[in-house]
Amino acid sequence: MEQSTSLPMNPSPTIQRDYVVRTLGITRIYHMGSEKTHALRGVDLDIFRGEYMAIMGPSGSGKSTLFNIVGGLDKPTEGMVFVDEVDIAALDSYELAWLRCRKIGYIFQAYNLLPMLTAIENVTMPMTFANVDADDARDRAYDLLQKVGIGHRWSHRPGRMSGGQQQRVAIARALANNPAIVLADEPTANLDLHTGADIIAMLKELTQAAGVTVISATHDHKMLDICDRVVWIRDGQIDRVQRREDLDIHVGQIEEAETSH
Amino acid sequence: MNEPVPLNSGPLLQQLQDDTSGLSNRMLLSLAMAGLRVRLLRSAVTILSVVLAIAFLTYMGIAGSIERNVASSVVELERTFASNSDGDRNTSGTSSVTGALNDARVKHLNHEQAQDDANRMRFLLRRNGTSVETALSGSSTNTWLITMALLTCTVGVWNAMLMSVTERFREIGTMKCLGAVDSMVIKLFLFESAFQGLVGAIAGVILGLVVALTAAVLQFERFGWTRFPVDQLGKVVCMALIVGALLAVIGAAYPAFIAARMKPVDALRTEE
Repeated sequence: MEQSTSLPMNPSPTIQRDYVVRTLGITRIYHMGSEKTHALRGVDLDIFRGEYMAIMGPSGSGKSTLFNIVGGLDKPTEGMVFVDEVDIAALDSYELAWLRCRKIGYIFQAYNLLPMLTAIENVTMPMTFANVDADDARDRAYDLLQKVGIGHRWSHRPGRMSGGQQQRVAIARALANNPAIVLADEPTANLDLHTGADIIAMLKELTQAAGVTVISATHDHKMLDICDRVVWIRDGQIDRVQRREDLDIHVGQIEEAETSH
Repeated sequence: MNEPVPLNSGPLLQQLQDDTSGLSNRMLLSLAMAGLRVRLLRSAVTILSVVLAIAFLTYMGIAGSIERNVASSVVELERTFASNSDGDRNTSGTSSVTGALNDARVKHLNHEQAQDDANRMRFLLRRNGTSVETALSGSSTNTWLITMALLTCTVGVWNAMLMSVTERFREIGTMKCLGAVDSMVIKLFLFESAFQGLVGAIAGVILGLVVALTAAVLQFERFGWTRFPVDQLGKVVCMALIVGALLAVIGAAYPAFIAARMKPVDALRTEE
């Protein structure tokens, strides 16, 4: 059942076959005083364009580290990470900011909207960073807010919105610059069951329409249910990669149905 | 399938080179304003420390020059009535024309008036614990006092901005995730602080002027008005405004640097 890490996984037939993310032998070592902690020990992972990928693993497994590296938030100690054919491990901080702005959208567990800005200003912000013309940015932000179903609250500040509404604004913000990847870090963890389901359905709808790849760190079975593949991380290595069909998902728990392909 | 390793020559890098990324200063300014509005109470406290320091600076500047003006008019008046009494002696010896007598009478009146004024001002200066000579020589302790006040204020701004930065780690991290580069974060904090400094300086100048004028009238009676240093006013106000904005920016420099060096990963930390 242990799979060697870079075996070609068969993507779902509907998915185009080019890669949006490829990692080659990434390791990440944290230095704590004289002690070295190996968060990742050589991870090779390919993610196809338009795919839904979940990253799972117990805490301390290196899951977050992998997630952050793929998202351009952290750099590997060794190895290469290609996002849209660019080795982001070799980029300096200025170039990384550029990449995060235009190629990656982020959805956070705690929404992370800027409290001093209104909904539409929050959605406009990444476009402003990308030098989009102010009027165009505003129009697009308004369209996106309409799409996520809160166009009528465009002038409200996050403090006056419910969690679900804030996460909708966050989704609109993540899609503002037409990213290639959306990184979703436990996007439904702070939401109730019903709202979480709404958010996931909306995310799926919007990203699929735009052909966006979604990479998610989640334990939410609703989220896993719409994933094409699940990567299991254990001890800083890929334990296995499973397609959804091979997962047996029940409400409240996740089990492996059959692991031998 | 591991073999094709695309190099950094893709369309992305090309775009990157073409792009002059950045957020206009106007946008950053409105962002800074929005940030201040949200944390109104805290920024008000920060502004207050600038207000006090600049009010002190303005007060010292204005009060000092009023004192100097009073002292120098004492010297001037005493010199004029000294020369006038010389003139009286000369004219009384040579002429007995009525016009000259009138002149002399007017001079005499002025003479008495001037002597009264000079004596009164001398007395007022003494009452305020100084003298014509000390007021004219100017004192270096004042400079030290002002420097210390400004330094204290800078440290206060520093502390306030550091708190503001630590409180906003997640916010800054989020902005970095959305594509903010380090220089934007630095500018944002400097703008915020400079604005607070400027507002504080304006309020401080007004407060300082009011206090200085009131004190001058109380100390020097009508001479506080008439010897008010109108010519010095522009200089003092300009200096106070510049110093106010400058000390706020100096206080914010290190916190802004800390904020800019923050890693975007911190945005993913969920604790508030």
